Amino acid sequence: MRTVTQKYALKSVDSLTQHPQNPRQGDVESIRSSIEANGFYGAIVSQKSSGYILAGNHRLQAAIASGAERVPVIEIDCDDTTALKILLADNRTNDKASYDNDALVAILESLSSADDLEGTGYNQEDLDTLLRILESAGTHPIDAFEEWEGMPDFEQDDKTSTFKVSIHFKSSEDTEAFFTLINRPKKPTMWWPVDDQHVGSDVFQKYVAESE
Amino acid sequence: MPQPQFPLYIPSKSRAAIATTPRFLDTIKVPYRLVVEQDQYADYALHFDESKLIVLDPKYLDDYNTFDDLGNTKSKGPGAARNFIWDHSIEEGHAWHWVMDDNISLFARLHKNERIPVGDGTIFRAMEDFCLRYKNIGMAGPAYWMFAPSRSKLPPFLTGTRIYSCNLIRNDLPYRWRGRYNEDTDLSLVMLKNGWQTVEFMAFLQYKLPTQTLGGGNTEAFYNSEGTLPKSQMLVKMHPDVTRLVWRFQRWHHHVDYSSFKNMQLIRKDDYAIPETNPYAMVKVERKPRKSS
Repeated sequence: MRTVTQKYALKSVDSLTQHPQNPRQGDVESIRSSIEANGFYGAIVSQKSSGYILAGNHRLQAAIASGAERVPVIEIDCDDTTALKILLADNRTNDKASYDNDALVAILESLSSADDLEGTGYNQEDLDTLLRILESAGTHPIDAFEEWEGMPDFEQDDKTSTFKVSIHFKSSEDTEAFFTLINRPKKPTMWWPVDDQHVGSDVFQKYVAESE
Repeated sequence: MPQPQFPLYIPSKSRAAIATTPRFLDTIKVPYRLVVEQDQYADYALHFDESKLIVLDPKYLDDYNTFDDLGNTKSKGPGAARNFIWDHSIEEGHAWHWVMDDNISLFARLHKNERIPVGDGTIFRAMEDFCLRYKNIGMAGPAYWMFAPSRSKLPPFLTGTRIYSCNLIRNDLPYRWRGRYNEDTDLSLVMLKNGWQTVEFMAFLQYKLPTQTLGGGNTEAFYNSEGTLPKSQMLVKMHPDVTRLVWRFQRWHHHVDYSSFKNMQLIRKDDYAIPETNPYAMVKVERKPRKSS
């Protein structure tokens, strides 16, 4: 593993510059809440040659909002291309992560029982949402027919056609002869045999409550 | 006969003379209210009893999150009125509310491979009672007619999917309508991602006139002129994790991947119980053929 050349220092917030190309849109208020509950830990990462922040643009904003005058900074010596890669990778690698929700909920519940979620980035509503997601998680789709018990009758069999055929006639005489042969009115589509032709169509009826 | 216990609202714009949903609800004697903008109130009052009309608070239009930077340069869609309706129903003390588009021609029941219109409000009550059996349903509604072909084998409902155009919504959820387009898909996804189940009833259907065939409405102003790209782009921006842009049939579409919600369960309430006598027993009776136009 290659370790980049870096130097740690406590720097004035005025000496740091937000990266002008940073595409990340952070939640400064959440970061501020964490800083105020837990203190500022770790360090902002900046590029030595430009002074641009590569990691921690929003942490700096939150620190300033919390009244910080100086923050810990790790200054790294890299070219501009590497700087842009770090700017992206720092967020993107985070985005690709996921959670073990059971473990997450266990921690949040222990903190919540002491009424102390502040500074975690989570609130009680977030915890309730996680609990609901865990409770509703399953390994198989719902059996809709089982859940339908006590609801209006529902039967819906597969009556789609198993085979379709298009017939082309050379003349109107041939057409008439065909329909005469099968003894059916002339229509562009039809079902065979005849007794199934009205499924789902042209039924002049309506459903009303039996008690009506 | 069973009637819905939660209020039905229909936001409507520029369709006083032609809105189909309220007229169908009138024929099946299901109560509802229309939500209209102040400057259209008089027009609607010519066609509907004023007890059925509610004026949209303009604050909801001003405050609406269109999810773009175009402000008032084009229609904001129906979301603002739907948010007003949500709060209105809460103020009236309801736990859930219905909100439906104004261009639904009829509601129907699918059973035994027949799609037959309903003649009363039984199916609305059935959908409500079904939702109330569970702890984690956030939104539900009848499927589109075209999504439930009469010859296909289907379950009575699908879960973990989007609910369109006729929505039964649980009032105590913190989410709201947003966006200039695809509000239904957005709200469905927001609920699903937060662990609230959605239920699309295949046993109950809504028949909607195809978009733009009725005239008027909130979306008339932009669907024709700008194509489908902005609306699909907006959904991708809202939900990049499950949505992607696809070019198909000579126009842009959005594809939403609902697979991550396919195994989401319904959580029965502790007092879940099935009535001994089915309260929704329905019979078929003759109806008059619809007048041809």
